[in-house]
Amino acid sequence: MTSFDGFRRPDGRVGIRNRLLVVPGVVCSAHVAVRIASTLPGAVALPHQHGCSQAGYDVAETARLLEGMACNPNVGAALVVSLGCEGIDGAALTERIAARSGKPVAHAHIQQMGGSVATISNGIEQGWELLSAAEAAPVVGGDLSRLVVGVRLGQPDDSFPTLSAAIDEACAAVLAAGGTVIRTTPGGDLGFGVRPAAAGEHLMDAPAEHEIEALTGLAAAGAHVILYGTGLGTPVGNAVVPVVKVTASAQALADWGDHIDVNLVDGASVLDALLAVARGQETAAELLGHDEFAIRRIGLAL
Amino acid sequence: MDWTFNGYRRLDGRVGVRNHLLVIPTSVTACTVARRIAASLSGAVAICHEHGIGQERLDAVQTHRILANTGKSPNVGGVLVVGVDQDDQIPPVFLAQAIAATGKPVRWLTIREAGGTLKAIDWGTSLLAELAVRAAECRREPFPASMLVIGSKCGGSDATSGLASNPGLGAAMDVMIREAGATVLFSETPEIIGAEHLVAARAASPEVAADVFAIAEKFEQQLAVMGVDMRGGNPTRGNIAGGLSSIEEKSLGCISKGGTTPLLGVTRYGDAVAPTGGLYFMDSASNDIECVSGMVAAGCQIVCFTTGQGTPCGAAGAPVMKLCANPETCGRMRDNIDVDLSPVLRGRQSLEAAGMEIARYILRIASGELVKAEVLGHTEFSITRLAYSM
Amino acid sequence: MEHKLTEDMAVIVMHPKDTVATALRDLSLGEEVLPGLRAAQPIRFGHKLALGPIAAGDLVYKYGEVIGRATRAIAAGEHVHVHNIEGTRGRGDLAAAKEQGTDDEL
Repeated sequence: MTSFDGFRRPDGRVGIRNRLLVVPGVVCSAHVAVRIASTLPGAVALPHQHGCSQAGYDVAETARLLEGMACNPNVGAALVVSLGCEGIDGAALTERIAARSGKPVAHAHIQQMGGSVATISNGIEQGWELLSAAEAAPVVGGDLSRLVVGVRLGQPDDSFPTLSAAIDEACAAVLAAGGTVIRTTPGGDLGFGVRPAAAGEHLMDAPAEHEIEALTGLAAAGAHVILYGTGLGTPVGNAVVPVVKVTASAQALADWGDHIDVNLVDGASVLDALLAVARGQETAAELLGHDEFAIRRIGLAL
Repeated sequence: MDWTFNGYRRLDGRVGVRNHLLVIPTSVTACTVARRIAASLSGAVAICHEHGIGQERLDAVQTHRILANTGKSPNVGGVLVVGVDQDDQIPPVFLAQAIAATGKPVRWLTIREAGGTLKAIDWGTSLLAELAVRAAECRREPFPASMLVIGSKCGGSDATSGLASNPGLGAAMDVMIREAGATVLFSETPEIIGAEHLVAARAASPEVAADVFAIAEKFEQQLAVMGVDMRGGNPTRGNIAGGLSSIEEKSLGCISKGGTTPLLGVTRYGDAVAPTGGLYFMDSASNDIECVSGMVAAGCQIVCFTTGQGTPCGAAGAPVMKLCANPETCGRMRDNIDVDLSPVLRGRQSLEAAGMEIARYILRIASGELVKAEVLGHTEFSITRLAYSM
Repeated sequence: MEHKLTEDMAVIVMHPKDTVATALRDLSLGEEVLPGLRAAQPIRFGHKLALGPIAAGDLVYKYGEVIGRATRAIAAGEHVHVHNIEGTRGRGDLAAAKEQGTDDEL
C-alpha cells in the first residue's frame, strides 16, 4: 500500500503535516515569534539571526527562504511577525505567501502594535484563527506521486554503500510512481531553496557541511520529508519537514539510538518508514522536539 | 553623588551586575538541547546561534572567541557548554577551558556521550543545578562605578535619535567617564563611514586616529566587494524624508551617543575591554544583535541603546537599557522603553539633566534593577560571520 | 554639546557654531521659531532651516561640524536640505578639514 491521507492545500499540493508556522521577518522579532508559537498547539516558530543590516541581495535571499518555508506543503497556515524597521517588508512577505500558496496567513507588527506584549497577545489571537483555518484543510488521499522527498547524506564512512543502496531503492520507488526526489550537493543545478518545476530527480545546490542550512534549502524547496543518511549519527530535525534518520552503522545505533528511525542493520525498510511518516507517524526528531533552522547567508553584515 | 553600586566580584578581577547561568551550545545542532536544559532552571539562558558547523577556519575562530568571551563576561556566574561531539568544529572542551580560566564554575557535556537528546537534557539539567548552587555563593558587594564598562548603541533610529536620544546618551557617557571613572564602548563602523575624519579628530593619539581610518576603510572595502556603496547609499530615502541631508549629518547624529571625551582606542569586535576608564570604539557591524553581542563579549556589563522607531531587543548576557526621544514611540511601545527622553526633544529638559538622570539609572541597573528587556525575557544573541558556510 | 533650550522650543540648535536649526515639530510658514527668526516656508519635523543667510559654496555646520556645503544661496529661515546643500562626503576633503579647525567638542 503506497497511499496516505494528507492535507490538501489551495495550490493543489498535499501536505503530510499541518503546522502553523510563525515566521519572524527579522532577528529582532524572533523572541516574540517564539513566545507566540509556544502558546499555540501545533505551532512552530523559525527564530533566526537575520533580516537586519543586510545588503540588498542578501536581504532578498533571506526573504526568499522564509517565503519558501511558509509555502512548504506541510504548513497549514502562517503568521509573519515584523518589527517594522527591518530590510524585509513583512506586509509584502505576508502577501507573497498568500498569493503563492493560497493558504491562510496573517501579519503581526511590533512597532505598529505597540511593543512585545501587545504583539504577543495579538499574535496569539490571530494564531488561534489561523489554527482553525488550517484545521479546515480538506483531508485527501495521496500517493508516492505527490511526494517530494529530500535526500541528505552525512559524512561517508564504511556503512555508506549499504546506506546509499537502501536510500536509492526507496527513491527509485518514489520516482517510478511519478514523485520527486531532491538530492543536495554544492553546485547542484537546482537553485538553493528553489521549488523544482517538474517531478523527477533533482540535484540542489547546498552546502556540503552545514547540514542545517542544507535541510532549510530542502524545506524551502517544498520537500515533504527528508531522508537523512548518517554514519556518524546526528540529532537534527527541521521545523517544517519530518527528517527520517537512516543508518547502517552500528556505531550510530549505539551512540544515537534514540534518534534513528530506520535501522538497516535490523533490515528495516526505508520506503516503509517514508510511508509511515507520510501517514502521520512522528520521526524521532519530531518526538524529541528538534526543529533546527538556519538561513544560508550570502552577504556580510552591515 | 555616590558613584558606587552593588555587584558581583569575579575571580578575574572584574565585577558583574548580574549573576547569570549561561548554557552555550558549540553548534546550531546542539541548540535544541541547550535550550531545553536552560529551560529547566529559572534565570538560566541558552545562547543559541546558527554557527559551529561548516565554517571556514577564521570564521570558526571568531565564533569560538565570541562564545568564550561571552561566557567569561563578569555578568555570568556559571557556564554549561553543550557540544554534539568532542570533535565539533568548536570543541566543547576547549571552549569550557577558555571560560574556566576566569575562575568561574564551568561544566561541559556532549550529546553523543550522554546517549542522545533526552539523556543529554537530563545530564545537563543536573550539571546546571550544580552550577546554580556554586553561582549562588556569590553575593553583591559595594564597588566603585569605575568598574563599569558601558556599551552605547543606537538602533531603529529616526530623526529624534540624532536630535535628542543620542546626544542625551552622550551626555550620560560623559558623566560616567568624567565623574564615575567608568569606561564606555561605542561602535557601528558603517555609521562612521563618510565622517571618520570627525571621529579621528577626537582621537587621543595619532595611532588611534590611524586605527579609525583603517577600520572605516576596511569596512568600506568589504562592503564594496558585496556591491554596497556606503557613501552612495546613505543617507537612505527614509533618512532623507526624515530630514537628514548628508552622510556626515547622519553619522554625527549617531556618534554623539559616545559623548565628547577623547577617543582612547579602537578595539576588535568582541575583544575584552578593561575597565581602565575612558571612551573606546569597537569595530563592528551595525546589526543590532551582532553589535550588542560583541559589546557583551567585550565585557560591557550594561548596554545603553537609543531607539527612535522602537525595538524590543535585549541581550543574553546583559541588561539593555532602552532610551527613546520620540514621544509617539514612547507611548506606543512603553512596554519596551526604559527612558523617555522626549522632554529633551520638547525643550523641557536639558541634555545635562538628562545625562545625569541616565547615569543615576545606570547605577541602579548595576545594583540589580531590571530593565524592561529583562522583564520580558529578551535574550537575543548572534555573532558576526566572516565568511559563508561550507 | 550645547542646546539652547527654553520651554517647548520649536527648534533645536545643537552647538554654538551651527548655522542651521532643526525643527522639533512641523513649522508653519512665517512662524517665529527663535527671537528674530521666522520660518521662510513650512518646515517638517526633523528638517533644518538656516539660522542666517548662507552663501553659495559656504560650509554648513550642525553639531559644531561640517555637514555639507551650500550649492546655492540660502536665506535666513529657509529650508536647508538635499536641494540646496551637498555633503562633502567624508575623509580627505581638505577644505572641510581646514575650515573645521581643532574643535574637539561636539
